Amino acid sequence: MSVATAPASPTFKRGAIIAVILVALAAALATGIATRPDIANLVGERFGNAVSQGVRNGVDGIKTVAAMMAERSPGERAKGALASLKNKRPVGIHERALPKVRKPTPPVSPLAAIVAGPPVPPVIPPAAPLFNNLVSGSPTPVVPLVTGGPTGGGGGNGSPPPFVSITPPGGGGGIIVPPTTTTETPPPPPPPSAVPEPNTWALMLVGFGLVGFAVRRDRRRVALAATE
Amino acid sequence: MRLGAATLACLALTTGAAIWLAGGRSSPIAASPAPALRIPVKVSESNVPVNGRLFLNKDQVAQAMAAGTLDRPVKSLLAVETPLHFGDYQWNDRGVSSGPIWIRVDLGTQLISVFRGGNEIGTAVIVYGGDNKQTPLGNLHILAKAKDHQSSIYDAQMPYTLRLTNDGVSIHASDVRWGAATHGCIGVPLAFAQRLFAATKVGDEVTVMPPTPVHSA
Repeated sequence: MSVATAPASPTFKRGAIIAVILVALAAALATGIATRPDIANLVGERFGNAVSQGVRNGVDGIKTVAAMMAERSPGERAKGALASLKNKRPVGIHERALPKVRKPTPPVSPLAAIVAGPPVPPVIPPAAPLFNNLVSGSPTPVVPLVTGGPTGGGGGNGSPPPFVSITPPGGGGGIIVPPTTTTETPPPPPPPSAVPEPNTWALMLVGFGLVGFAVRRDRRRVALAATE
Repeated sequence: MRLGAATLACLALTTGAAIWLAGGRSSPIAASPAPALRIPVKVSESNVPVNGRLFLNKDQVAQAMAAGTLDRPVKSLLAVETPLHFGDYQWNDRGVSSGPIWIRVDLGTQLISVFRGGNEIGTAVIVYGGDNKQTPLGNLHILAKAKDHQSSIYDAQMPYTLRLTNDGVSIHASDVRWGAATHGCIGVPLAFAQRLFAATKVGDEVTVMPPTPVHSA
């Protein structure tokens, strides 16, 4: 009452001014909110959330049975992704992809040709050139042809390549025995290497690529199914 | 002095308008996530757990039956404080008198609930049939019980089996873990299966509720 009786006091005036300002601010904010659609929507949304929560909890604030069940539940199972089972295949379909059967080459050929082949000519030629030189007497035309002959003997039988040594005896005369023995062993097929060939490599790479692609596609499909 | 107050009021009005106009374009309030607004919830007596269970009132039961959550009146549910994880279960039959057993299996929430005389005495997380071997739905009955069952089809142990259908679908102990599915059976944790086996008898009713969201989608 003392305030009312003393309206001219400076404290009352200050208080009145502050009150007016506050009222004006409140009015401004209220008009702003009321006329702004987004804020109004926001407020409505919050109110709607509250209402839906109330509905979920029940009209008078009590939860429904479904809400109680949902609260204790670990959640719904994701559709599709993890629920597919591994099917047992019937026995008859099972097959194993066996590698290509390679018959081993006869064990004699690779080493025997290399080891036993060369020694034959060196053993016999020493006798042959001597004989050749002495008897037939035709060493001169033959020697220049045989360039690799280390022994330098007639007939050039000392040279490693067998077919080169064939020609000298032809010129040299009747000594044919050493060349024929060397030529009879054909070069054996090389043993299969442990490292796969390039086309095998390529096939493997393509296969792995396909597997990777399939896995990736499957995952993507699973992810899509999970998001649906 | 009055003039000053009037000018201040006008200033306030203009600032309000300015806020509105500026916020109309880029509204920082609308962009920020709305905080969950809690309305005061009136706690009635039935929401207070008594002896570890919540007693339902008539409205709740009526609502649940109308919504299809329950197909028969239920008196109380277990008060489960935290969400159950895979392999978890609760069993509480203290003070629950004897009565008909009803097992409610909800594929949507992946839960099983055991009721005795309308009071829930046990609940657990289940695993159920995969997409290509779906669990049968509807009202079923326990046809047979087998404590140490060995499946002839899958060559697997299925302890505490409660057989539901003639083609072998059962409730039995299983490795309940996330991401698992069965060939149609309902798998429950072993300890829960043991209690369930002891509590049930042949002829008891089992209701399998469909996974509603999946079917409606």
